[in-house]
Amino acid sequence: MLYFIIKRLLWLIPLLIGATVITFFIMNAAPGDPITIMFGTSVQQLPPSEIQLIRDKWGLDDPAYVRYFRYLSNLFHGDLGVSLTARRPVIDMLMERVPNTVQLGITSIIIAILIGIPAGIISAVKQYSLVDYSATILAFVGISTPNFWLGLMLMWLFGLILGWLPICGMGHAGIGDSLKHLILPTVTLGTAMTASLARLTRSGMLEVLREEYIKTARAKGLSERVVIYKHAFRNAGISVITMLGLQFAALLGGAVIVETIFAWPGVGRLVINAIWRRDYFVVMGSVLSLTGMYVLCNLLVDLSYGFLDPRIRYD
Amino acid sequence: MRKIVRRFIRNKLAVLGAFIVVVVCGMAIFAPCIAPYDPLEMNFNVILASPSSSHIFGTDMYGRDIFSRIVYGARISLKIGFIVVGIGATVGTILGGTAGYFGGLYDMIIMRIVDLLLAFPFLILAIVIAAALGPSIVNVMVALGSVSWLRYARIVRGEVLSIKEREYIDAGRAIGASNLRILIRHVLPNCAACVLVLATLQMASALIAAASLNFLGMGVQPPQPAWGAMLNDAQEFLREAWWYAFFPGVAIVITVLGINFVGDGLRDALDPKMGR
Repeated sequence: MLYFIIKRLLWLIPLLIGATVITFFIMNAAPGDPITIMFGTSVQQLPPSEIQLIRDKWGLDDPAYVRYFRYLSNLFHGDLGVSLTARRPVIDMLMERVPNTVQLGITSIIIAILIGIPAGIISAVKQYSLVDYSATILAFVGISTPNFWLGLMLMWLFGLILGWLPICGMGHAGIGDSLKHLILPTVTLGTAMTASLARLTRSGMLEVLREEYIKTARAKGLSERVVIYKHAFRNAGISVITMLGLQFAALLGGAVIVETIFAWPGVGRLVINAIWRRDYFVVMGSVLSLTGMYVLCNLLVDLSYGFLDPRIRYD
Repeated sequence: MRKIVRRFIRNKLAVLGAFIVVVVCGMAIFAPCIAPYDPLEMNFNVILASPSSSHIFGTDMYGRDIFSRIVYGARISLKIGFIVVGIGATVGTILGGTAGYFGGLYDMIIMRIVDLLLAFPFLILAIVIAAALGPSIVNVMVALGSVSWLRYARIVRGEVLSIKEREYIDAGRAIGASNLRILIRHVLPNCAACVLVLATLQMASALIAAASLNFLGMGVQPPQPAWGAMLNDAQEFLREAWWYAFFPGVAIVITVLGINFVGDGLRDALDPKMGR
């Protein structure tokens, strides 16, 4: 087990280095000069000698691969560079933002699990019933609804028309206020995941419910509840958990949009603003942290297999 | 083949989906006949007018007819969808197919690249590429196309690995067929079903991803009517004009829903063991 975790954590290193290569060279190909980004229009008032001095100091005229290796070596020392516009270390900005994105992500996953899995189980158990059809259609609508539109509509209904919930930012006046601010972004982000989880749980359960051991369990006289939750769902659970890990990528992509709409101070909003300002180091740091979150989440998924299915061994 | 069609038709949701897709395609093709107004024509006398008999979906901040813009928007959405899926399916099938067939170092390199790129959250990678290329409709297609081939590559490779062990492949080789001929005539056609299903489902996600990029302002530029871009404009006027944000979103949901129904129906029809 320990060996497996170490092996997987080591695999993170080439993966994250690959992520830096890709983002660095993509951002490098983008038009825009860092000096103009730093000083805006006032760059024309600076004497050329001073501009050259700054260029030399930051090594802006070095070839791309030299700048890349400098970035990489700084990265290994925990230095993610400095934001060109905010003039602050990127690592500090990420430290402030990452917990907010994690908070939004986790609450969305919890919603998805609490609603999606039971809905999928009920759908499967009562296959071809009215409940099943309604759940199936709702799930399809959930998968097909773009989160930015859902967000705007929820904002319009619950924020502007009914005035029940705040529509932007994070609350800072106590837990109640924070929770209120969390509701709309969470629902917006969690809907698609809830829907796909419901679909997947349904098909996973349908497959398992046809197995012989379910017949045996019923024949033994076990209650339907035990048969469904203990015998069937535990076996359908593996594919559900795998999907949960893969869906996390969509969730992080969604977070970028949802944070932008609801002015949620997370990494997603940071990366979008940084992209518009061509704030390279912030873009790279944010993409790196989002990729890291995704990969770590999938590691957790792999580890959870062992708990769900004791037959799976890691060595 | 007839069996597949029969299974597809028996699935009511799939038929409904096919109907929606046909309607949206018709809307895109016959846009000039359907749209009552020019989608770009501004009319400052009817700015943000609510839905009425003259403008059934209301008007936007420049007094343009929202219904006409949605009808023309179908062209842009479908164009992006088809091209992204085309790029993804072609590149993915070629790379995945050859990797699975030839194996060895080539296979390892391709699959490691796929693993690496799949470790990125899909939309974030597309956003970074689109941002670097600059906002335009072509760049949206390039950005989404360059991340969409990964799934095809992985799935086609898996299929090819099992197909190449079959006896008819050995038979082909025994009569002296070249690798290229075996691959093109015998291996890849057998992957067509799974590529078709994947392409349909990917078309739905490509539409949502493209709308997201347009919504963020990284794609289609004004005044072109694209559904995602319309929502971007509409968010400022949410309080005064709900219809401005409502109808373009409904257009996206219905189109994507239709495609998802078709994709699901195709999967069930082509492989009755799956999904049911």
